Amino acid sequence: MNDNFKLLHLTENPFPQNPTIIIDDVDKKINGMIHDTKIFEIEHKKFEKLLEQKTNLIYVCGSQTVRGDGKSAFIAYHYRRIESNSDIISIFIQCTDRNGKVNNPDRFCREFLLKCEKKNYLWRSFSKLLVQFVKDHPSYGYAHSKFITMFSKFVTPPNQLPLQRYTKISNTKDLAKSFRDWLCDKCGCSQNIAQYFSSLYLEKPQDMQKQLQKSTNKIQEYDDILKILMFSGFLHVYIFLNQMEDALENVSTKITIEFTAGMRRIMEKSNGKATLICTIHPSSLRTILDNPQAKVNITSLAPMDDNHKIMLFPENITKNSKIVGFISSYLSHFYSSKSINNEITPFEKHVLEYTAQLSGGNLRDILRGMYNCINVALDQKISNIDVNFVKNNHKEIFDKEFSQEIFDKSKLN
Amino acid sequence: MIKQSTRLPRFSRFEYVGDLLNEVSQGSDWNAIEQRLTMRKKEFERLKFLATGKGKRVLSKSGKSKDLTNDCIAMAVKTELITKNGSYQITKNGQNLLNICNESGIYEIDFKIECLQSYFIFYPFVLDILFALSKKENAEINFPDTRHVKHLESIEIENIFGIKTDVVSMMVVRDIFNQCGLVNWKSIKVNDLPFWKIFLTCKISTKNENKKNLKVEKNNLTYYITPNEPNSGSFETSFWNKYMELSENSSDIPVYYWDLRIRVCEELRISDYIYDIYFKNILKSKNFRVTCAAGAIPSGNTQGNLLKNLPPRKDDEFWMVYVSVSKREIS
Repeated sequence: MNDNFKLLHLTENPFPQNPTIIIDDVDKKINGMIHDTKIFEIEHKKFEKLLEQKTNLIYVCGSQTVRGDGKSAFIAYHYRRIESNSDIISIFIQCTDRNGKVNNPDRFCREFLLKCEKKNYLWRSFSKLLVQFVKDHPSYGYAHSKFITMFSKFVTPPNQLPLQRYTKISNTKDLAKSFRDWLCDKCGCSQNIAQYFSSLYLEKPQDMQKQLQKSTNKIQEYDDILKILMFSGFLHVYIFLNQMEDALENVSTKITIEFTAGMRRIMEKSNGKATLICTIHPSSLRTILDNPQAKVNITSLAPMDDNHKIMLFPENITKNSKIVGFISSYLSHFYSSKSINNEITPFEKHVLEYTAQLSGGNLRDILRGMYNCINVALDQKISNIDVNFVKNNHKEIFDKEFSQEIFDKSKLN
Repeated sequence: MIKQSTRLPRFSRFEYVGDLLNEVSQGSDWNAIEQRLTMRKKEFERLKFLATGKGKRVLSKSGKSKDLTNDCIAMAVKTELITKNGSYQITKNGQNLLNICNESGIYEIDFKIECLQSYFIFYPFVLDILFALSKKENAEINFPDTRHVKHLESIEIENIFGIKTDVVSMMVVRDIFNQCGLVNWKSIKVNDLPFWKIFLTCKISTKNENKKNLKVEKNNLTYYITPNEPNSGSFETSFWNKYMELSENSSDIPVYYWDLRIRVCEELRISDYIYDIYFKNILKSKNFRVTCAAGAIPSGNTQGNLLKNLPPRKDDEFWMVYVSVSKREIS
């Protein structure tokens, strides 16, 4: 297979077979690592501003008839950008429809907590706060430097924390209790959460995931953990709720109200600490707006105005040769040699412009078309993908007949 | 003098007439006609379901379209589109109408207007209702929606329109005029009671302005009925204002296609058909960025469950259920 790709100067097909975002996947074609910011240049700037302003909730809306308009890729890019700042928490949650397990605010909170644990944010908070706690404590202050040494060795949760070996403290229960009380006092979190946060991490750090998965009042737990995280010095939390529209698809009036009431609670708890970013389809926006109670729940805290909403217009890709940058952002990761002169080899520019026009700017359709182009070219051992190739294999590539009208239109842009 | 009938057959979609003529031209019997009309009925529900995620279930058992079939045949016989002498035969008029149907397409306005002409000739009171509406203040009327309560008596309808007919016939008239672009209507509440606000969307004149119109004879006079068409400027203004009303002054908030359409139609006194044409133009407007999205309508919302409310399709593919608008920034 690799030998065949050499004909196209590629190591593999640079385009995803199923263009969708799976943030935790290792494949950079779908995990949001490849992103061309030029398509949504203005929207990116506006979005960055809203993030900087710590807006409580930002709606990222698609404008297209069907899905695949780049909402997920858009937020995945910002998730990765923010993730690189160690003082800020960036969490990406993949929401599901009603048949899945991440389809309501309570479950969003559970996902948030689990991801905070998985991404080590909780452990970082714990170690930092425990060091802070012992520093001025009359009974444990002597071990301050030992704690620092211990946590420099254990930057992630171990199976068991060798507390006694490092600090000579044998009674972890007493330490946990004192630490719990200090936490409650200092950051205002509930005793229940402070209890397991201190005792589990001191005694059985690996059990934290199990604890967080338990069905309890997750929104309250979210509130408490958020207080702990902020107290430990994190500057802000960004929660990206990808495909939130799925959770609102074909749901009853009752579920819509419950959903929005839950979101409202999350927003109230997040006040000044966290920003929620959710992708939303016109139908789910209407589901909220058509229900007076649901509308009040959400819009009284986060109106659907320009201060809370980003609208994406991917059809801009058909203008000013923006398609070239978009396609080359994928190709550049998969060239077999660095000495490729043309940034869009093996494609002819007009093929890209035609594809952009044919898909009406739908990014998913463009990527799918490109993927098929490469595969058909491989089958036919073609090294240059030009307009004639596309015309001759149109049905196979795009699953529709060639359109002369669109072809002529694409030449004008 | 024979008293003219003021009871209309109980159907209002002209597509059934096209189907009936098609079947009769092929020598079909009653059962085959019924089967065809049932298919059409199902097709309407399927379209609604595809567009909005809502539609009624049409049972496939025979006999479910018996009344519809008998009404269609009765209408076609009365309007001399077919004859019934043991078997059904298509007449010359019927064949002409079928040709128009085949040439223009069963959903197209040309075919529907031709059907309406037959109604004007063979059910003259239908034209009387149009004239009566045109004479009302603002050429509009709030007609009581009595579907869920005791129907209006014919005498009460006579008080409103000066024509004695039954309420179901009135609904049929409203719907056939609506399909032909001569009136439009919407549901409203007045003092908590449901009404249909029905308004004229055409101009009736004795002068021929050489526009595409419908020519009718009444009281030895020739009248020309011309559908209203706004200029593009007034359409854009109304379109934006009504969108802002619906979206509570926020741009890029999705609203239902039919909600926006009826508001603009009411203000400009235009038909759904004319609106759809102008809407397609506004998609390319330099002043507005109009985007459309497909998608099922939320549960509990039944507005989309009307054939009248079906939005057009974008590029013959997706139903434009949701419309979002913003003003383009001048660069």
